[in-house]
Amino acid sequence: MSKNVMICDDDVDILEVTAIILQQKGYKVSTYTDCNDIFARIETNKPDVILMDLWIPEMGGANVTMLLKSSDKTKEIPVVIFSANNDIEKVAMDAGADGYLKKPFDIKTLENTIESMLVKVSSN
Amino acid sequence: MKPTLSVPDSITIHEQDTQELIKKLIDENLSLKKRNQELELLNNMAKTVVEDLDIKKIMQSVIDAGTQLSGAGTGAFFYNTDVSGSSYILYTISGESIEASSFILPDSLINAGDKVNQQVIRSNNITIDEVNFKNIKGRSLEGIGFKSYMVAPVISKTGKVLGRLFFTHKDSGKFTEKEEYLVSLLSAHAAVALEVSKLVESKESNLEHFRSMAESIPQMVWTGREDGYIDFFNLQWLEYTGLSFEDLKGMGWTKVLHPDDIEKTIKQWTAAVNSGEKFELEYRLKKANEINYRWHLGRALPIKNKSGQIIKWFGTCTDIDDQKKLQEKKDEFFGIASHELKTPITSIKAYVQLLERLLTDNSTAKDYLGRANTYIDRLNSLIADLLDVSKIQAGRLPFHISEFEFDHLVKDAVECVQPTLQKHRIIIEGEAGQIVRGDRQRLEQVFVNYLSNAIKYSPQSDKVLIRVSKNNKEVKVAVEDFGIGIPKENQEKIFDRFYRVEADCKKFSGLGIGLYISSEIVKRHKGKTWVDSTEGKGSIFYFSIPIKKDLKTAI
Repeated sequence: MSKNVMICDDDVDILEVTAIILQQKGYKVSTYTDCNDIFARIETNKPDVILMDLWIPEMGGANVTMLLKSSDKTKEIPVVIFSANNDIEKVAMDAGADGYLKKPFDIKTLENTIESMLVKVSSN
Repeated sequence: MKPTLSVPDSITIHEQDTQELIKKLIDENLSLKKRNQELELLNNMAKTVVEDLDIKKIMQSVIDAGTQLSGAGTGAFFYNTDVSGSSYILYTISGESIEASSFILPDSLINAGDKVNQQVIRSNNITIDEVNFKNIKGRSLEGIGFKSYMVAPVISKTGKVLGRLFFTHKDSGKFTEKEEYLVSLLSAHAAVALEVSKLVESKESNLEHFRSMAESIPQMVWTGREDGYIDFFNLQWLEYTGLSFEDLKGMGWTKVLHPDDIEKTIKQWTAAVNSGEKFELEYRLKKANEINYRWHLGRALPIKNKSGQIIKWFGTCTDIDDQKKLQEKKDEFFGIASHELKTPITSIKAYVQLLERLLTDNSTAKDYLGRANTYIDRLNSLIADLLDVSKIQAGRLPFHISEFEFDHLVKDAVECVQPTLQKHRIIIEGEAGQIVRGDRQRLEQVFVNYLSNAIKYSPQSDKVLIRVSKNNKEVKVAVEDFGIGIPKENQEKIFDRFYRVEADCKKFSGLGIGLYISSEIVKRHKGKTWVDSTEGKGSIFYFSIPIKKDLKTAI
């Protein structure tokens, strides 16, 4: 069964191309331009991995990640911080994210990052 | 037994002796009294000299004492106002009043050579010595009514004649060696007094000069003692803070600091006072009657005496709040701009790679797309560089310090650059075998910058060498290319911001900020960057990073 990837990014072009790449890889992809109602969305359509933009409205990707990681229902879902920010590695670590992907990216790196997250979950 | 007669005899004899003795005693007592008086006069004069700093007052007491001690009818002090020693003005006068205009030093003395100049001149009857003691108006001093005359020079430590003490009497034979001796003692006191008061006067005028300057500039100015106690604030300080000198003195000023700045400011100020190094820090100060604090740049320099000891701290606080806010806006703008530029680049790069995948291997189109991808990366790194420069200028390039094996960093940097190269091979020679502490990502950036420069400026060559070495103090890296090299005169400037070797500007693209960023990154690691190059043969770019003592060698 194909895995679910949730992508949150306020830029629709990036959402679109990232979705194309991951769909070609056989993932089921759901895209969002904000993080409103993220808990409700997760409830109805639970993702296996979340790709989270840092500058997402309203509260920003780092804060959303911290919220996800503090809830028992969502803390097991791997979160990858997705940003053009130079300090992304530190920001991702501080927020408690499981990984990071710097923009612009190599599509191979995107694929590998998502895959490694899923491997991590299944080995747990 | 009859009493002996010898007793009254002897009494008579004794009476005679006693009377003489008494006379002698009275005489001696009188001269003792006189001596005591003299001493008291000298003492009183010396006291004035020490306690008073007013030259006029001091010289008056010197002349008063001198006139009394020497038994002169009139005494005066002539102040030398000219370096050449030819211009004397009457400064103070004592004793019988004399028409001031007639009281002038004789020409012979003024024009006499050094030898005469530095001695006490004494005449007991100027009618005999008339040639030497004429006044400038052609009248003899006798004509004014003087017979005894004595002039003593007041000589500074450096041998300069500061002025002359002048004593006269209407009668002849008034001044003997004893008076001459007393007057020479006086003149020594007078010399010290004059020099001290001059010194104090110049110091006071310096201080006054400084204060009036401090009040006239818009900056907040303060001074501190060598122990760090603040002992002066100018008006601007008091006005800005709305506090009094009493509130602020010593360490009182720390109460106007923003609570978040107190600790680091005190720490840095204490360190400056202890080390004697200049103090420079940005902190926020509370404005009077307002809740807000404004950013200030605080600076202080130690003022040292000739032997290098700190005698004072001189400090200023400059309001940089507006610049600071503009800086923040600029940073924010650069942050947003670079983010906005990177967003479309991200999409372009992704689509180019998707296209590349659609094409079969070895097709020309695939090759073109590969090149396009390289240029996208270059565009991206240029944007990143611009952002870095703006952050370096603002002093807030963020660093994330960790400990890592240096050789891994070298390997990663090469692996990052090698795949993008057409013909160059990067060869690593040697290894550090050392754990270092620093920002791994930033140091990798330095490597990538050195390597891309080496490749860019050696189009005819096919290799780049990396030599890694270490000693007990530092790890050292040399990146050597076999390219065009850098002319000697340009080698120093190569690490400057926006600097590019002019002759190469047209041939090679770039903003001229890569090496600047690299040198700033290495500087922040307390390391060094330098270059060794021969035009036409190639360049070796170096950087070194100090090894922290507590770090182990790599296993």
